[in-house]
Amino acid sequence: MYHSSSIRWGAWGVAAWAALFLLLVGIRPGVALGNESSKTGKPERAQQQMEDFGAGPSPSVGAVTKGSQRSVRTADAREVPGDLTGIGLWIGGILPGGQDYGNTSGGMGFDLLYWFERPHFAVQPRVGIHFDTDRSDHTFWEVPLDVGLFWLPAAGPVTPYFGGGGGLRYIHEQRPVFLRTGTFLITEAVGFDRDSGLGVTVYGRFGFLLARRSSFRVNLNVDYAVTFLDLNGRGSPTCMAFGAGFVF
Amino acid sequence: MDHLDIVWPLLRPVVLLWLGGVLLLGGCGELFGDLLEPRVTTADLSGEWTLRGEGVRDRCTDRLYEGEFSLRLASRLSVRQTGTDRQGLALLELAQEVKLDAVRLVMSGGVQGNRVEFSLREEVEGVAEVDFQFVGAYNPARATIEGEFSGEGPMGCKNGGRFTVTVEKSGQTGADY
Repeated sequence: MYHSSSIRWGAWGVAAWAALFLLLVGIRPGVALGNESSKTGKPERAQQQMEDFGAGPSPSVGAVTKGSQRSVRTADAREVPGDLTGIGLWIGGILPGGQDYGNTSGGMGFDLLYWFERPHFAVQPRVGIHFDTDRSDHTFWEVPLDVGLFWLPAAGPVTPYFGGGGGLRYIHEQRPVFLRTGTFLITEAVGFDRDSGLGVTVYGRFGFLLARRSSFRVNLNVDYAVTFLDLNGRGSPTCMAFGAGFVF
Repeated sequence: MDHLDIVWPLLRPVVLLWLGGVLLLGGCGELFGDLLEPRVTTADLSGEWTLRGEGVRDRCTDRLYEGEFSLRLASRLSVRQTGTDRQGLALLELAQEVKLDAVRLVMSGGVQGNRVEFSLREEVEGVAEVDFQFVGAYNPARATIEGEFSGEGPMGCKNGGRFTVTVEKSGQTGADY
């Protein structure tokens, strides 16, 4: 069922997320590469990295560029994954929970994301398109528009990460229904229960962030999402998403 | 002598006989009607009917029901052919009442030659849930009636499609109704 209120929410949602996206881009214009910049020996970049790592602003940081301490400090800085902002892509599979998402067996998805990473946390707004890969008449497609906040517990080049996020999700589903009428004169047909709508969504994520010293990040993740939306009278659809994201 | 004077006396009886025959047959057309124009024999469709059809329905009160559908009888229907009406239409009716609780199946129709028309209506407490009209032709070689149907219901749908009835003579198999 289509609701005008849902459409209004959709317009506001798009505007809100676009504003957030631009805000984040505005905060960190361009791609900043910690490791590479530390190689250039720029003191301000090294200091920024140390602050991000928790060392805080310290007069000694300035010594990174000076004398005998230079190599030590540089080595320390190399242990700290650099901060990164960039555009990314995610590709993965979708596993509907129970009989959700049109009772499809599964699907796949593509997300366009923005990745804002500091040594111990990352923020990721995204928009995507997910759809079924079912060959039957069961179908779904959805557009998630959300933002996630993740904790990166380890500072090494590889770290697990946890977190979650929320936002909006537009879901469309189609379920074939067997229709039979009559007692003596029987009619039989297959009808299609179609429903769609926009709902608030939340998700939790567990994953691994790889190649943190590189400007090209790879992350493997598993999400579990719930969307508060009633489709075909079946309550809030849930799904798992597993895949790989690449940040440039 | 002219040739005609020789031939005519020989031909005259033949010509007279031919003319006489034409006048006789023309004047007694009613008597020899069957010879001049053979009358079509009305098929006997009494027996156990099995119906199957495929159609499309639209304008339903619930759009879920719109689209293609199949049609069939839940089981074979015992039909009998009674006398003819004034137009020579042999009437068709159910051999016995088909009823289950408040649900009742009503049939009416007729056959003339090989042309068959009948309707089937399923009523619940006297109100028609579905009402289909069938028009088709009987094929004696295959003992089938094939044609088109239209009608209303369920869910107020407008229906149309094609159907086939297979007629088995009574006694060949046991009747289900």
